[in-house]
Amino acid sequence: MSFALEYRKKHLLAPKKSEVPPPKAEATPKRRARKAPAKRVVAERREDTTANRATVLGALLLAAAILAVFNSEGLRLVAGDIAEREAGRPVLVVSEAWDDAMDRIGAKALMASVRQVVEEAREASWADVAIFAGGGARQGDRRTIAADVARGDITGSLPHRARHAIEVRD
Amino acid sequence: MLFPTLSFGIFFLGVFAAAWELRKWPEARKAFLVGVSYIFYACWDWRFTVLLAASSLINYTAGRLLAVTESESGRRQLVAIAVVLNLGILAVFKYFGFFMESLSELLTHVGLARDLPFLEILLPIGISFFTFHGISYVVDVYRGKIPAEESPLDVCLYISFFPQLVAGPIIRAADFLPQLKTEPKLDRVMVANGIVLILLGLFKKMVIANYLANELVDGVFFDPSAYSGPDLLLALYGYAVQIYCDFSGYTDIAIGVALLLGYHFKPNFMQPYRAASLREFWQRWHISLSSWLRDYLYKPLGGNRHGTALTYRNLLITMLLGGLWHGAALTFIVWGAIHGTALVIERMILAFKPAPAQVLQLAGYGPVGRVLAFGTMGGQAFGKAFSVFVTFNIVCLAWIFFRSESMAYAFDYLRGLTDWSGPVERATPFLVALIFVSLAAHFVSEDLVERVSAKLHDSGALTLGAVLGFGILFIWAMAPEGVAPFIYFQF
Repeated sequence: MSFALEYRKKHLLAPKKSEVPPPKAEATPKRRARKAPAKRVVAERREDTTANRATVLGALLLAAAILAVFNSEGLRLVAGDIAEREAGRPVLVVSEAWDDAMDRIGAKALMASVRQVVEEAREASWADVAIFAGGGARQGDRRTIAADVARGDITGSLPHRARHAIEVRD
Repeated sequence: MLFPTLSFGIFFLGVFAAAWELRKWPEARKAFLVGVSYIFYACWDWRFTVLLAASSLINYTAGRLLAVTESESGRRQLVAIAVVLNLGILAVFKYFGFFMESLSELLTHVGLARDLPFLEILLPIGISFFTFHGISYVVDVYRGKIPAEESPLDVCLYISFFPQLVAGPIIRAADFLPQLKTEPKLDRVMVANGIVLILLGLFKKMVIANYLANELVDGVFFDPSAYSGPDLLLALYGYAVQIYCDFSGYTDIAIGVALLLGYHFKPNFMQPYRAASLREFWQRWHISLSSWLRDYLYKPLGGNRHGTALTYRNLLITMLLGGLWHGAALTFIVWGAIHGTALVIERMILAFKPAPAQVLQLAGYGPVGRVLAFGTMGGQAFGKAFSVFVTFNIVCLAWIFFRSESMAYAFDYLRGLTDWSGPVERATPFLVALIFVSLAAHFVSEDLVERVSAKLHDSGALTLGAVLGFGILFIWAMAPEGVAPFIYFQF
């Protein structure tokens, strides 16, 4: 073949199909595995009985642990009932030890403080409510309040603000 | 085994874990739930488990016989026998003593005093509830609402299922039995609603109901003559709140526990003290009982289909028997009579009251008509508030008899309410606030519980556990000492 024909074949003519390399894939991003839309995932998770059962069981156990730590006295009382039978005595020993341990680390303080708040609310009188609603005493009101205390019209049974409010000074 | 106790908590933890483990084996799951329900019942008195089993057997057998009996008269006879047997059990255990006492008093009164046989019969806990469950099953099979169950296990579970066994709600066979045919599911809505309902029920019972009982109601009702009118009124309102919180608290816990086990119960209370009429009150209070009485007593008597006089008669009979269902005492019958009479009077008044559409027509008659219509509609808003107030006080009047030990105590209470000269001893800020806030809660949005529980739909075990654990902790911390039984255990 002459140089011209060869040149033409090599550079000018369309290549044969057998010589054409397979076309490259178009420049699109790699195809990721199809993901379900977020809403459907949430909905499926909500309906999944097995998963929900595990969640509830975990929640119940956590709740039991919270109660065991912060309400160890309740465990002790229940153990006291069980200890009426001989077989239940070791349970009482363990629960007492646990209760003492929780007391030492201060875990019982939470329930004690809630009980105290409720107790104070229970024992409050209408005079306490009046003082509390009045926002405590201003400086100039101390003599009036002192007079009220002396008459017995104010019990001052509420601590904190009420006690401060009715502090008597000569 | 009371709901708000550690022993029930441990019991439920075990039941929950095992029941869901058996999800793929429905018969085994049902058998397990029947077994634990009988254990739950045996904690009160194991002897009455025999009675429970007998009741289940009677109703199951009646259902099977109905399925194979074709003649209408035969079917009617079967239903009648089953109902008589159920009510007979109830009559013997609940009403025998009352009947003998009343007979003895009557004979003495007419000069025919006799030594009548005296039997001290223990009242099995929950007997009124599981008796009504049995009747519901047999009648629903007779009416064709549900097919007769082939498996005795299903009937046993329906009658003995522990969340509703001892104090309701009264579940219909047509609502519960179909749920046993499908594989139980537990979705996040059920989990969240269950936890919120359990916490709400515990708070209502352990904090509100118990404080009101211990610090106000029990003392005042024990000796009403020792207190002045204002204290008696406060204690009466306190009792209205106490019985609502006690009973609805129990059913909230029952519904929540059932949800966590995969079963749906219908609501039993819907803010009853916001009712503007007695009729509305009974659509909101102890809904399972009022609807049971409507479907199995009021309607079979004729309902409102045979004229005004018979409607009134049927209403009175239904409410009298509803009162008697609560207890074998004249005070309960009077309680029912007050409600029945009030319902009748209400119907009479409503027969003469113009409907809103008729009022609006006035506006078409010129400016005077428009003023009248506007005034009437505006007045209706005030009228509604007044109706709520009146309805609440009629209900409270009936509660006096419901709570009092005897008619004499009830009349003492009524007399004392008219005397406002004595000192006010019981009205502390704590109790007044407790009553006021509890009554005010009846006027919040009806879907508040659903909206609160919606916040927990996507929460994990950590959040749910913290909510449940700290929720129960704070409730126990706030509650008075001791665990009082639920009021409706005595019915």
